[in-house]
Amino acid sequence: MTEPEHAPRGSVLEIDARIDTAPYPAVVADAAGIVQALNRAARTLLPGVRLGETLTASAPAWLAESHARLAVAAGPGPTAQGWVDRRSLEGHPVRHDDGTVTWWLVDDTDTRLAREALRSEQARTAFLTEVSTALLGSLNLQRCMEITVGLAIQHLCDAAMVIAPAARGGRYPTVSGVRGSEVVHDVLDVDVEEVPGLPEALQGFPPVPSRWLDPMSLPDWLRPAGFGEVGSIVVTPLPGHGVPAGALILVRGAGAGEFTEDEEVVARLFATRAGVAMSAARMYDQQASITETLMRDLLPPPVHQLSGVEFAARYRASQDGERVGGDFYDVHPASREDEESLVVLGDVCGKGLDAAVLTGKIRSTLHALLPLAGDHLRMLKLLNGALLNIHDARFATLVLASVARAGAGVRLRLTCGGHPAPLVVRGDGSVEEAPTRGTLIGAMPQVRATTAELTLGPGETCLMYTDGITEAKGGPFGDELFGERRLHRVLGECAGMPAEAVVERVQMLASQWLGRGAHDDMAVLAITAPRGQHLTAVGGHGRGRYTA
Amino acid sequence: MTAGQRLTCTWAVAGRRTGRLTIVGDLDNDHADEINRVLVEGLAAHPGLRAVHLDCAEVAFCDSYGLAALLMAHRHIRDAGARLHLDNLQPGLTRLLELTRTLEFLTAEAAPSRAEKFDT
Amino acid sequence: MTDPTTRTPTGPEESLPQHPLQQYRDALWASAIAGDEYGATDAVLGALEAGVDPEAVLLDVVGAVQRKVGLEWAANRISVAQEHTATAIDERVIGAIGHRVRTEPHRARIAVACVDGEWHALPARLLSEVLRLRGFRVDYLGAQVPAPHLVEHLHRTAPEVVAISGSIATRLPTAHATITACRATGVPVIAGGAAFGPDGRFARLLGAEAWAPDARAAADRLAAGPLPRPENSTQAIDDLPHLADQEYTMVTRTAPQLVKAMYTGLELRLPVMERYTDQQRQHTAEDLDHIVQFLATSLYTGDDELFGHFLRWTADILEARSVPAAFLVPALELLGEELRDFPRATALLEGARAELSAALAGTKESA
Repeated sequence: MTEPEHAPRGSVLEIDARIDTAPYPAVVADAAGIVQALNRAARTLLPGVRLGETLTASAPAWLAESHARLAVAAGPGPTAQGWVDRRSLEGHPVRHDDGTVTWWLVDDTDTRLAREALRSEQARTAFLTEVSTALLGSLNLQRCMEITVGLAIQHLCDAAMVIAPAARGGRYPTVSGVRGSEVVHDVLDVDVEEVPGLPEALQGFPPVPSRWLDPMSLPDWLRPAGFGEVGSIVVTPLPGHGVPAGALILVRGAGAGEFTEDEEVVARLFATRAGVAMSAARMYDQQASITETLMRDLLPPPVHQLSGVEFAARYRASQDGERVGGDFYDVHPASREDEESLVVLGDVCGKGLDAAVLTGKIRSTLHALLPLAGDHLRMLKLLNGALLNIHDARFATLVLASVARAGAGVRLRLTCGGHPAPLVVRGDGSVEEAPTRGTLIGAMPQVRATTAELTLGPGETCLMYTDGITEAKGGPFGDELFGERRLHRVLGECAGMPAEAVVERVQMLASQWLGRGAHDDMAVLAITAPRGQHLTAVGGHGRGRYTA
Repeated sequence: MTAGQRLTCTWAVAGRRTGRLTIVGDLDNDHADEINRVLVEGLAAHPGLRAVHLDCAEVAFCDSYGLAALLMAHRHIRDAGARLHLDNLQPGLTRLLELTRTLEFLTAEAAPSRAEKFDT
Repeated sequence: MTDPTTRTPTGPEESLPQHPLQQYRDALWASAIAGDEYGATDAVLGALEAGVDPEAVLLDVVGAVQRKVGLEWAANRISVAQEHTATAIDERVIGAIGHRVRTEPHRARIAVACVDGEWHALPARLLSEVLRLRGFRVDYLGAQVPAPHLVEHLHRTAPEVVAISGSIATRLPTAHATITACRATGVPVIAGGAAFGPDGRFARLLGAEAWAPDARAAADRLAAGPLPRPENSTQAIDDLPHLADQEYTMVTRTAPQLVKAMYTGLELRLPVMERYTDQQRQHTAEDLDHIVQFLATSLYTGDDELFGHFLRWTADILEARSVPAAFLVPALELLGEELRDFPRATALLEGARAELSAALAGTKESA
């Protein structure tokens, strides 16, 4: 700020005319703080200031204090800053030779307000950006509630609680926290009607503004644990995507001061963002659990050792984001040890969910036909009839395997319906194709198939697979098929391995062959006759059934 | 994501009774539907055909989806009253058709009635 | 993972000069390698019955045997079939221990997964079991977890931490994507396994909140308190500003062509390749592919040492199988010619080639 042009340099006991009519208020005081002169503008601005009285007695405190500091300081002296009514003033001191000082008071209200608005706007934007980043990352409702409470107690208040709409059983999931301690999850069995505005906020209807509560009439469950006297408390609805996301309760301690208008705006914006994030998380969760329920029957089942035969299987859906696809397998255990278990592995043409739905139909049809498993051809014909009515040319290829323990080995009956024949790895590492062939299922009115019967000796494996393995395209040069020859060679190295190790090895090599390439669904299932060491072992770890 | 090469299908008619669809490329999940699109248009434009030849000389690859497309093509051709012929089958495709026992079915004489007997 | 023998196991007969659990290790090793599940189960249950701490049985018996499997395979003293068999048996044995010893979960929920494309699931499985023993609630997602599945799991279950295991360095770029995806959901990551470097440098580089050299250290770290929540202000590229030169992208994108060019070039330089069997050809092509993958990973991480270490390891593996490692030098030269327009790759290849030639010359002299 430049000095007014005609600031007096000498003793100023009288204000000259030009100063008197200057647009800036000017106050002259001596070293002891006694007011010596005032111009017209100063008299209007500061009607309480009188000639001959001290600044301390009659002027705003900030001016009197600055004047007192100036008296002991050297040099031109710092400017003073303060408010008169609703105007912000900057006081520029001009020292005179006789020790008096003229304070020129310049109104900087607009600049100051603009600067403060800018600062608070920046802080608000930064805060809301932080809120969005933190909340958008998670699609987990609990985590979103935690983040909301955490941010609220960090930036807006001393304690906070998020109440989600009632879960099953009419209880309310909550997350609450007090600044300086960890947030707490709880499920409350309470009457929200006790709190004015809360039922509406939780229902999302009718729309309600933030509501201030009387700290004296709070129900106990709303009082933050380990928190002193509540100064102010406000309930804000959390609006979601068309569905209520819950309510946010912000609490300040007795000494903390009420929310300013500006803080209320920020709190509302915060609640909007938190609400959207929480309702997105809730919808994701609902979708995910619906999908999970529907998918449960389409997922490949876990496969274990059964009735003295090792089974192992692995599956990888073509799209990385999906867990189901067009390949399927099932192991239906025998009800008695000496009966046959039925294994099915197959492939419906196509990928993804459409294909998976058809696999579901095939699997449940076969399940229903289990009593006929003694006659594979009959089973395939009935399945064919059930699938033929579908109005596109979707078909399935599959292998049926009836499996039973026979002495130290395993007896197999294998029937292919248009599927690559299972491969058998003998103890010496030779690999043979099971001699079975048959019509694919679901496209043609007639079904023909031949069944192969064979026996696995201890340590020998029968591998069923889908063409996703042999048609895996890649390799070091990027454009070769994995192919049947390579599969035979790989299996030759698997002689004597346990079933899980065989399927792991085959799927590992096919997946590595693919590298990053696109692929079809892949399924492999191994049936292995356990190796014979158990006969000589001693001890009691459930091996009795193998000594027969 | 697409691994296969593009598929092109060319439709031509020889005389009044014979249609020919020349297939060049991969019959796979991403492309196989193309043969039925072209085939359905061709059959509609030329009613009364007795035979449709699918020229497979340049079918590089066929997966189960491609086979489904061939079965669908068979259905369209049969419904139009014609018989399907598969020409110039390459060993890979022949093997797939034999493995699934579809070769004979696809190229059999059109069934006289639509009410075919099902196996039970 | 560090050698567990440097730690003090809790068990009987501490005074023996050899490892106090050696008898159990020997028994398990013999059974596992023979595919004898029952003998293997007897060995570990015997240790439990003798009062050995279950965690020591998992880490210092099963874990030690599994490390031996890796070393014996590398030295070509066991076959691929034996390696897979022993691993499958160890898996079953871990299941048996889990049935025998249970701890009620009373600690935080932890998700344990392998990097996608990682086939060594056993370290992650061991970590899961150790965490369960210590009372954590563990979701073991297994090997081959595509990042979208892992992220979906994190959204649904909101675990306190996700532990990511990786042993193959070439999966580091995938690991980075996975770690970034996990952190974006607000779940902190602890990384472990050989892929992240003996000092955990790649875990830090790729943004993980913590690193542990082995399962015990990971469990100790998690038991000590929660990991800091990830700060989400950074993007994946901020971790690795050198990726701006696109060399990694170019090398991965053209990998099959690079392998082809190296293979063709080698055929001209090494006439012996004409007589290779199909399988030898495939192995050679796969070795070349590994060179390209490791080069790409070095470019990705900006760590030259990773490539040099891989070449020394490969040379050892080849020597153990009586395959002359000398072809590696011309292979590097051929790759260098293909990548001459890429300064970072060129410098890396030149340095590695010089080091390898010197090492191979040294071996010959001493032989």
